[in-house]
Amino acid sequence: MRSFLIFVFCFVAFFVSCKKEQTPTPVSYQPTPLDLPTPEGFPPMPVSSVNPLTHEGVALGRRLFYDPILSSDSTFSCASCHSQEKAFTDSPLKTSIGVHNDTVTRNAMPLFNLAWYPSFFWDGRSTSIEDQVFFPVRSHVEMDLDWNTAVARIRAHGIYPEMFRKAFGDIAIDSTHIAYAIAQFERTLLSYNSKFDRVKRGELFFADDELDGYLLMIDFFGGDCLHCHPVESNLLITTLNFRNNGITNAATPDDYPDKGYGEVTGNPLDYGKFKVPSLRNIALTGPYMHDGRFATLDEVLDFYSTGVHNSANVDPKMEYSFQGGVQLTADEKSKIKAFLLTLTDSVFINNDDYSSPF
Amino acid sequence: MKNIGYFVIFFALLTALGSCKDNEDDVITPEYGNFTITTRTMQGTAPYTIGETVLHPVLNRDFRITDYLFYINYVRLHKSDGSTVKVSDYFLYKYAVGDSVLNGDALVGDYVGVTFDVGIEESVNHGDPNQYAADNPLGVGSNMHWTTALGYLFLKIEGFSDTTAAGLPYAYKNFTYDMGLDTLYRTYTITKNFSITKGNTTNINLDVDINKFFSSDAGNIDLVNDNITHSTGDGLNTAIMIMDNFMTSLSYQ
Repeated sequence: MRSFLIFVFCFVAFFVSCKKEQTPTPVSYQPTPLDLPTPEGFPPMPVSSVNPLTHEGVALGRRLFYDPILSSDSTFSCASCHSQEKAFTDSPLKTSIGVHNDTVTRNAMPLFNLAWYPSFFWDGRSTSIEDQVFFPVRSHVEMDLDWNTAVARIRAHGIYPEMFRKAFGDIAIDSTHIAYAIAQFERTLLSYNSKFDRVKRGELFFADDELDGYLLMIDFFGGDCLHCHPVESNLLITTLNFRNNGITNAATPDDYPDKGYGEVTGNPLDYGKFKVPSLRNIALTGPYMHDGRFATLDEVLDFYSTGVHNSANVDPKMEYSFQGGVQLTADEKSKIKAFLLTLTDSVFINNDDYSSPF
Repeated sequence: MKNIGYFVIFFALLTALGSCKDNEDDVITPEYGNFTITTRTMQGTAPYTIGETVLHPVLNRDFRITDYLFYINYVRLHKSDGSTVKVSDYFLYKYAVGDSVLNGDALVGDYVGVTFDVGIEESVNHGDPNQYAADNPLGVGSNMHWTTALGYLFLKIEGFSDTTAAGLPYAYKNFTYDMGLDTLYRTYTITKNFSITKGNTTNINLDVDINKFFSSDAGNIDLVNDNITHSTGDGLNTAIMIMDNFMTSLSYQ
């Protein structure tokens, strides 16, 4: 019996010593889930099943968003065209200017409340936040960096590999996970604290002209804005679909110089259609329209009042296009503008969670 | 003696298990089949494609439809004994995506007809669309909600018509017909014998004739001069006529 016990002890000791000699396997990091509450009154926030939010993923995405490492000469970041103080646009630029001082053909879209968006860009070419990240980086007129180089730079960086391990575990850093991280940060950009929101929540009251403007927005015989910007029923303040608002005078579909959504679908009846943008923070995001042709909100209101072209693909929802627009008086335009100014969310543009970490 | 005791316990266990099985057999598990309604848009007897310009045979005017949606709600199947079986709640038929199929589970059995409503019932119509997921038929993504007071659009028809006989691009004028309001809620019944069998799909084709939107025994719609309605004010009569025309435009096979 004694010799048997000695044998067992030696056997166990042997295996324990073997284990000590093994190279320790790194413990895979478990990121901390981030539960982002849906703002009051908004539809339930869609959650990505393939790229769930984590604290580490958002922190990584935020750093990448502000880091010029993803541009060809390392001088230009996502934030170069999407500045927080301008609701993540590059206002007052008419159209964006890229890393080589090339002019982009379209106006930079604002970034907020993207979790609800089914498509991205003025022409809807991308159908997920993750996918849209790929476009500006590789675009020659924007950041002009091929993704292989981008990945090599991130892998060789002094900080990023550990941040990726904490955000995604033991993965090989690739373009997909770079996009995932940036998308996670962009999903957290929520704007829901404008005066309009506070009135909706019963915390404040509109001034008289603001209320009149609001009522004109939802009046079929006033501004008739609610078809595309349903301020009462949809807190995103956009239908998020694609419309031709009669901004361009085109006799046939082929006459639209920028085919917009039609470029993506290939359908001539979609030529000249562009995404309906949210009106949130509209006072911060000028110039307006896909090509930034209107410098001010006054010009925009003048357009919808009397400047609409009854063109080839104008949307039937532009109900008064046959008479050039809704024919607003100066007083009505002033009131609608007063309402639009209530959509500025100063909490959003000053939120430290969204600012540069550098 | 000890063995006999074990045998008694074993026998009792067997009896208990057997009786449990008998009880399970008493529970009737409902059996389901699949019921679908395939909605197809036609001009007369020919399939119609969105955006296609066609001649209206009664109005003698070219027109094209660019968008076209309606709600089918509360689909229920009728049995010969007068009882009904509910299949589905809200379904938004989106013309823009082509033929559209309503799909639901239905109890196995023989049926003599189907009824569904067009629109959203009053108790739901004035709720907040933000309470639903954006991609829910009643959510904000449907773009079918006006305001809390007005509620949802039940039927939306948009497009263009030719203002002249020439059909030149610039001679087209838009029409926007938005039918909503509780008073425009309608019900449609299909009288047809069919069976639902376990695991199988039973389909009914529901055809919509776009010609009939604008022309019926009640009169014709003036696409050029009466080109907009939101079912309110002076547009109510036009909305009622188009809603009623729409119900006559439905046929089934």
